Amino acid sequence: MENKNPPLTEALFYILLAVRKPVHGYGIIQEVEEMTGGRVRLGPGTLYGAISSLLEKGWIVLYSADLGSRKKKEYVITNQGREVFSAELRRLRELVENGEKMEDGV
Amino acid sequence: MIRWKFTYDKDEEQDWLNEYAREGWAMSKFWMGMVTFVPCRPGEYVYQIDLLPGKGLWANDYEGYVIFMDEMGVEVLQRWGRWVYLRKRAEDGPFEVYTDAESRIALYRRIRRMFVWAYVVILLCSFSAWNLMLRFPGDMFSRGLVGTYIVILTVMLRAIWRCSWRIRELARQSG
Repeated sequence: MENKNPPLTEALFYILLAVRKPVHGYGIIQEVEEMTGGRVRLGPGTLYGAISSLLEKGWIVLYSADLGSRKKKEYVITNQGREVFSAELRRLRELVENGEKMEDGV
Repeated sequence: MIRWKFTYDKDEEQDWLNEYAREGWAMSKFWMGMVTFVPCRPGEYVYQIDLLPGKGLWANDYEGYVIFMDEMGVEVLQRWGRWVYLRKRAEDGPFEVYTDAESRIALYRRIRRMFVWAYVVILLCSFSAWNLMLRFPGDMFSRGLVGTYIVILTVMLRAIWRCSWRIRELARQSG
């Protein structure tokens, strides 16, 4: 699949990764921080804006067992989101594979 | 304690609020430049100012934003049009609303758009004052009014320019 989307920002990449299973907003921040060893800390405004835009694009959806409860909103990735993510992963692999030529000196 | 603060620069105002919080004064209310402070433990809170997405004075989904921030341990203290005053307890960790160049640039673009919009509205409002001054050339009132408009419009232009400057800087730093 040809990727029509521009490269994902680091924030979007890690948010999509974090929502591979249903998770609420604060959970996303914690997981991203854990995955990157504290390097990527998402501010609440950055996360809010990213979630709004991902919902709008249809890459993630609200996931909630019972909508009536006052449970925290949870988000989960959609098939479309997974496709975008794997296309980005392919792009990044290509970068890394080509980048290694530098170290190999070939 | 009450202090007056008039500024168009949210970063300056944010720094000012955090300075007071470090000295043990927590901002609790803002109304027309009148800022109310109540005592707190020095450094108890960290303040941030945000401009919500939306149109004119109307914010998109303000309730959703408040609930979201609440889940993050962030208190939405006050809303002023689309401007919001946020704070978080310092002991709950560092607090910056926007943490990457993309979202910071988006914020300054929103701020700039708001100032451009305000500039146009104020410019249109000023036409009656210009008209008055042209009809009664010696009249001090209309001269004063025109002078006031010129000052406000100049300040707005400066605010727009500052946003553009910050956007350029952020874009340059992030490559």
